[in-house]
Amino acid sequence: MRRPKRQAARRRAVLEKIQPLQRIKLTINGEEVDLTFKPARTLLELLRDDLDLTGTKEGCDGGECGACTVLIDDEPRLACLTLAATLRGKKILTIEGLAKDGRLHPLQKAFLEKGAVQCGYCTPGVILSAKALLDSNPAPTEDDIKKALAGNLCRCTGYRKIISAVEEAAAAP
Amino acid sequence: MADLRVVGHSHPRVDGLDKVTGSARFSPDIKLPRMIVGKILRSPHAHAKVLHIDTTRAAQLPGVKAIVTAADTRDVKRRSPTYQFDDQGERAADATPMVMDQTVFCEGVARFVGDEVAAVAAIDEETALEALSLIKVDYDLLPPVFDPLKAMEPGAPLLHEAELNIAYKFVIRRGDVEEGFAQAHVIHEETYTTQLQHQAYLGPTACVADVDGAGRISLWTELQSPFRARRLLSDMLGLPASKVRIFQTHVGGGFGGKHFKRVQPICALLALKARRPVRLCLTREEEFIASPPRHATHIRLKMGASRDGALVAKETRIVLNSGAYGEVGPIILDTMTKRVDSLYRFTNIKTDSFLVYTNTVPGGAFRGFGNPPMDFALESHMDTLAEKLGMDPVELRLKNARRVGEVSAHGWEVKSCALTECIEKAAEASGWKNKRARPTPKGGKPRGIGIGCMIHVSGCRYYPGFYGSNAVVTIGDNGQVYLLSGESELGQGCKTVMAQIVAEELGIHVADIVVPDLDTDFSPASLGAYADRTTHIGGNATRLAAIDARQQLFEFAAEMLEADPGDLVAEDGRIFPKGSPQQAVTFLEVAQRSWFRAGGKEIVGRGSWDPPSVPPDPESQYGNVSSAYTFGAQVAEVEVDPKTGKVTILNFTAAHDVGKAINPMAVEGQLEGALVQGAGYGLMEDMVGVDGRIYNPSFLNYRLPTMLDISPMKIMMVESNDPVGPYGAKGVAEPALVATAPALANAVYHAIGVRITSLPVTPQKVLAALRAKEAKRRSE
Repeated sequence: MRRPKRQAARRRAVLEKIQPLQRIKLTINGEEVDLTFKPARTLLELLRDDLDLTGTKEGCDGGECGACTVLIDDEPRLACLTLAATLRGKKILTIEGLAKDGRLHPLQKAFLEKGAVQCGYCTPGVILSAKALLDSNPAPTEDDIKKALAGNLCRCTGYRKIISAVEEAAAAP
Repeated sequence: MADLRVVGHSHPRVDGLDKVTGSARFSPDIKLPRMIVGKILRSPHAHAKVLHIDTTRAAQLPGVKAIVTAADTRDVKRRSPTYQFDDQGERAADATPMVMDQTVFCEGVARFVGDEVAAVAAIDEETALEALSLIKVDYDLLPPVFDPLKAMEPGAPLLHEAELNIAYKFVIRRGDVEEGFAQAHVIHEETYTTQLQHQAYLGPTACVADVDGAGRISLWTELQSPFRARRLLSDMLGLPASKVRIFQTHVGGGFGGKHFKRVQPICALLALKARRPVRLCLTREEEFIASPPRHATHIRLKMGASRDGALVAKETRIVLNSGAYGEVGPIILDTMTKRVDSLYRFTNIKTDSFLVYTNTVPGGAFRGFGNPPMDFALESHMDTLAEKLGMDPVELRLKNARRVGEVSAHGWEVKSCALTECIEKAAEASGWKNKRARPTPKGGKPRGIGIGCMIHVSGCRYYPGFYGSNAVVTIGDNGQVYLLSGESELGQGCKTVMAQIVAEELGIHVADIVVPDLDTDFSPASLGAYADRTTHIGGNATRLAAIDARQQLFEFAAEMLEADPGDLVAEDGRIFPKGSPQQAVTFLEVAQRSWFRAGGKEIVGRGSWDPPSVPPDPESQYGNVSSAYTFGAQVAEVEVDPKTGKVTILNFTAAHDVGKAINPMAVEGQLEGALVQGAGYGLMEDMVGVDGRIYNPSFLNYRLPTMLDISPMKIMMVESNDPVGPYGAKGVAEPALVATAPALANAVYHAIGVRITSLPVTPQKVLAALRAKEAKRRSE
């Protein structure tokens, strides 16, 4: 049986014995934080386990499903493959930081109204990938949307309503 | 059903805000004070005796808080979760034909790669993984068997204590098959095989268990049937049911794969032993190697049709590869054995079907439940018969289509059926006639168009006891309405549908209704989400609960209005005598009066509904198992690249008889999602097993359809208004996947003239078939 995870965990345990704790400042959802953590900590662990920001989901822990997508300096990145120690001074946006003053982002509103959410597990990652797309391309074609979101797996919706929701959000004033 | 205000109109999900803002908590998100982490040790061997488990070194590792093995569960046996009581008030074991052979851990013998052997709980994941590597297990290798056709023969290595590896068997005889074949103008016989398909929900299965001072255990987990799970857990832990409480978190997708698994009892055992909260979350690899996927099947089918296309005989031999354990295998086999026989007007049927143990991952429920593989075989066969008869495939299906008012060969009473309409609509909207005649544009790659039809159930009864649903609707002091249903929200949208039903009956808005998460201490017991029963059965129970609450409310309103409660109506937050809206009192005024009156008691509306269905007779297997049957037709248009064998889906047209769409947007979402899962089953998804090992246990190597793989879809909801369902509704979530794979395979045949009889229809198979065809042409 393959045991990549177990081997990785052992390597990590060794690494953590010989390397000191990391301390960095970064901005998460608009708030500057000063964090100390073990050197091998991934951004996903930092968010979910240390900061209790569980809106970022773990679907595979291998960079294969897109559920943990967050924005790092406005670029969509997989939190499970990102070492937290590399993020000094970076700006992180997670799903929890998307609504402003209780007002939903147009994407959140469109996902709700267009029925683009079913179980909702992939939703945070999909919405953040879509935000990165709309920020750089405010009027995407269907092909643009498909290319931008191809790395976000969804098992419930069949994707059609996600595409409509992104189109709807793009058209929003 | 005139003038529906809420039902029948699209409504956003009631849990949608929670989900788009990231505040929705799924089972892996739950964190309790002092919580530790559980991990499972699995067998690396497909078949081996477990001689000895030495946990000494693991127990000495600092940070390890509990280790459990089969030794901790020796006295516990599993019993069927759907028991009924016999005349003496004793539990009758075999209410449902399940094979309850999976204990908490494998005991004495490991039967597949991934079989649970032991588990640890430690202060963090690293320590838990380290502890697993320190557990020493002595195995004595046994000869394994992987091929179900070999496994079912005498002399094959045996997995369980029995003379053969046959876990279950059906023998069905209707009419006279020999006589039928004698009358046939054409006869076709073919073997079809289908693969293991994983549910591949995005949210992994996790469980958090906590034991309180009184020894009462609480679990936060994701389950399709929490009340059955409570019963099973109580059996497996040797605790009374009152000591087990299950909180349903949000569910990250189920599709059949989140019924009770070993995760829950193992997590509970760890928490009981450590006396600390434990979280056990399956990794994606564990999900693939040890969570029950859709079974692989082997189907031999022979059918005959008369000159005018009437299906005169059907003979089937089914081998369902059960994997290492039986569990729900027998009822999946039941579905494969009988369901498609009611799609068309078959009268002469002969079926022998077998559930066979092998040393592979045990199969389980997955959307469609045995229906998709058999429908693939049947609908592929229909096209070949049509060709032999010189008939259009649509015409052959229309000729044999089930009609309303009929009783099928297995005793299924069809009270609503729009199959003919679905076939006609799908053909019309897809441009069937033109594309069938001229599929490929000049100079383009070969194109083809194919159709598949299907039948499914809305709940499927296997035993005479309660097969219904319960709901409670209470009205609070400020007019807020609480809806408690025992049915499970998996993402399919049942909370929203139920809230719409309550809003409809109470004359209020969906936003006025609170739908709390299921908690087995407070939610009324129901059976859960499977067999497409939730809207049809749970919806009826919810409707009755709302009507009960409304009647109690009307008693107060009648006093206030000095009217007869029987004359009142509730509409848009107001209650008034029929025809006199100017005399209205508001819902809030009545709710407050009912709450604050002297000596008052809370309004609690109760609804319970048991469907008028009949379990199959144990001998004859005859019986009207569901209170409503669903039908549908799907047309797929594909393009095939003859150089690479790649099949590209150009579009889908799906027409489904949904009874009544309570939330059309949600129904559409179900149909679209199922089409893409069906396309995955038809073209891509395959758990590659060699020597009992799954070689692609990751999303990188087990390919799900991505956004780049989808095509335009034309969705048509045909409303046959079922006389039994709530507002006419029938199940919709499972059916849409059933007919997709055969529609695709038939389209591929139409495009390039080769029939792929084994799923998935991969480029390799298409190329090999094209080469074989070319070689045959040359040799002629």
